Amino acid sequence: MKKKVLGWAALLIFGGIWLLRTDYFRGSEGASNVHSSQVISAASPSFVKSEGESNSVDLPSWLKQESAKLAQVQEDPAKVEQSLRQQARQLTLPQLQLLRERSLDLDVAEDERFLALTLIAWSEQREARSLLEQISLVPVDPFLSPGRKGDFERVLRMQAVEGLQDLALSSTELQNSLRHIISRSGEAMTTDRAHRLLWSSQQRAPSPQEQDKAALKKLLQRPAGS
Amino acid sequence: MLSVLILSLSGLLWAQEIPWQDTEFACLDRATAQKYVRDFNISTKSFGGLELCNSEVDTKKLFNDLQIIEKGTFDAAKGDNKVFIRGLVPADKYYSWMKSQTRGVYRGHDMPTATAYNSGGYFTMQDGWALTSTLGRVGTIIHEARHTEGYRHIACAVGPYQDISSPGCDRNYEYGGSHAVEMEYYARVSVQGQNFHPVYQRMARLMGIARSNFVFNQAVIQRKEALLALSADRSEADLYLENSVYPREAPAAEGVLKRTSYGGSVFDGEHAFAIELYGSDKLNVPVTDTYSYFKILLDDPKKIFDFEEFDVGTKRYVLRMQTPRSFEFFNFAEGGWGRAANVNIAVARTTSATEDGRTGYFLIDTDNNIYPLNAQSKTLEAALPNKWNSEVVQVAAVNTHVYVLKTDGRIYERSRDGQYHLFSEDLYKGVSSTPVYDGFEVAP
Repeated sequence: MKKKVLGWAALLIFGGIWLLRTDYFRGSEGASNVHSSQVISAASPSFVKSEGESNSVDLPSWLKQESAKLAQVQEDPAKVEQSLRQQARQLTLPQLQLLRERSLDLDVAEDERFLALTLIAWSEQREARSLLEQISLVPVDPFLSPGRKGDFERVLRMQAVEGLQDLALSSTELQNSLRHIISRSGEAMTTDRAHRLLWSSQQRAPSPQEQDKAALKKLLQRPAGS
Repeated sequence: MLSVLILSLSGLLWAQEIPWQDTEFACLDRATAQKYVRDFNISTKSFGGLELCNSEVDTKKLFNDLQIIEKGTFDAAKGDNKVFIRGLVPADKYYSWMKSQTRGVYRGHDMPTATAYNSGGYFTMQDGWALTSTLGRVGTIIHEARHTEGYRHIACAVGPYQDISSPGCDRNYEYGGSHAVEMEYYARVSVQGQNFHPVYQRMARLMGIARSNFVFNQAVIQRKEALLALSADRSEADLYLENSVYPREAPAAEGVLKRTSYGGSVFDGEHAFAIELYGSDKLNVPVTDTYSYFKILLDDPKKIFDFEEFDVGTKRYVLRMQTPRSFEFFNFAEGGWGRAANVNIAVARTTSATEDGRTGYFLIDTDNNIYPLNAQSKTLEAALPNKWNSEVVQVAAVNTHVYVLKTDGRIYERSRDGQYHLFSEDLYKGVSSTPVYDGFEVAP
């Protein structure tokens, strides 16, 4: 009798394993219990390991998971940003360095690379300054341009420049970083962004974000053919 | 006891395989997936089979794109003071518009240089599409849909795409082609987007700004440009911007007025002194230019023939001529000067703009022949058909306007038919275009 019970138990366990290992719950094989992705929640487990926290995960896995959300619409984008910023503030220097590596790795998905870079900026940490400078100054591989890959690389570097303003830097430190980028970058869009931020930091121009939005708004008000 | 054991083991396995609840939300329900397949006639087989959860599979990537198009919402009145906006694609009709423009979607590998192509309403998404960001993928499919209505590209005249043989640009935004529709989407996401991921939205803003510089032969969003003129007595520099003139303090230095990435400088052959465009402190003390690429002069201070920084498309170039017989470009990747190339003409002077509105770097020989220097190949090209007018001191090209400083000390605006119209009665020593960083201009 005891053997019979154990036999059934083993069958149930292995059956369960089989179900989970196949695509049954992933929906590829005709599942009906897959979940809708109309909106996703802002809350997600932290990569920061703390005592008693069971669902903490390593940073690369978390980053990959989190970047998948870029492909989803959001119920509360502000909450998502707040949550990401909060987690970014807890990043350690080795983690920031890892994010730098991910952001520059051409084999990593672009959503993940852009998110990694954004998190470096949202860490607000002074240590991130040199990392953002480095990213902004990495030359764009000429084999990626022309093309969308090259465009993405330029956008990534523009974001690296903008990210400097999120860090806890004095205005002198920020301006020195921007001057360093201006005098060392060979990418016109990178230096353009650095110039805009420099003037903005001196209260002589609106922020680059405000300038962009004003220009894009004008564009929407002036549709083609008008 | 047994059920507890089974649940525990299952729970453990679940935790290992799918560690977070969020992964469940990344799955798409079958009915929605089938609707997309039906609405867009998607060849799921070519995309790797029907996949509802794993975004590594191209089918799921496409479903993600379509879901963002379907579910993404815009607040048309956001910050616009109820200005009437007539879009190329109505903001609330992206999905139905896409559906109406799509006869089928395939995944292919037959045109590796393209991200995707549209043949009679049938889109074939290439490897480039699968490798790009979500925003890039959504932008691509919206872009392709516009081609169904017959909008085609032409060869690129400017920017990073200008050297490719196949057509990749649109004439301008007014044409309302694929690039305009894509650009409009980025602008909408950035300015009016309501439920997009904040990082997606941030990327849309930068992509909109960046691509506006690359894909239209007539740029939509231009950096604000102004005219800078150094007075004859060198006491001040006048900044002409949008029908106003702003007198600025000029550095007390003898030299040539140069455009810089930061504004303007007076270059005396060894040092560059910055002109403060945004204020007038009246300090009357020359301030060394440590803001632009002229800062490089400080690394190796010595008298040279010329120094220039200029843009060609998205690339910035810095060049020096230590003597009139050779030139060298600064290598940004290596942080030093490249190999010097010899010049086989008798260089008398240089210019960064010509009277017909060309910009770049040009050498002018003693017979007034103008030779463009090709920054990409680093070679001297054949002389232009028109010679340098010996009555001209300096030329500045500001957007579509060409300003000419003549030997009489006055600035003239040169029209396209070659006529000179007096621009200012004041006397000047130098003119230059200059970038002003207080906003983008949307070209009229």
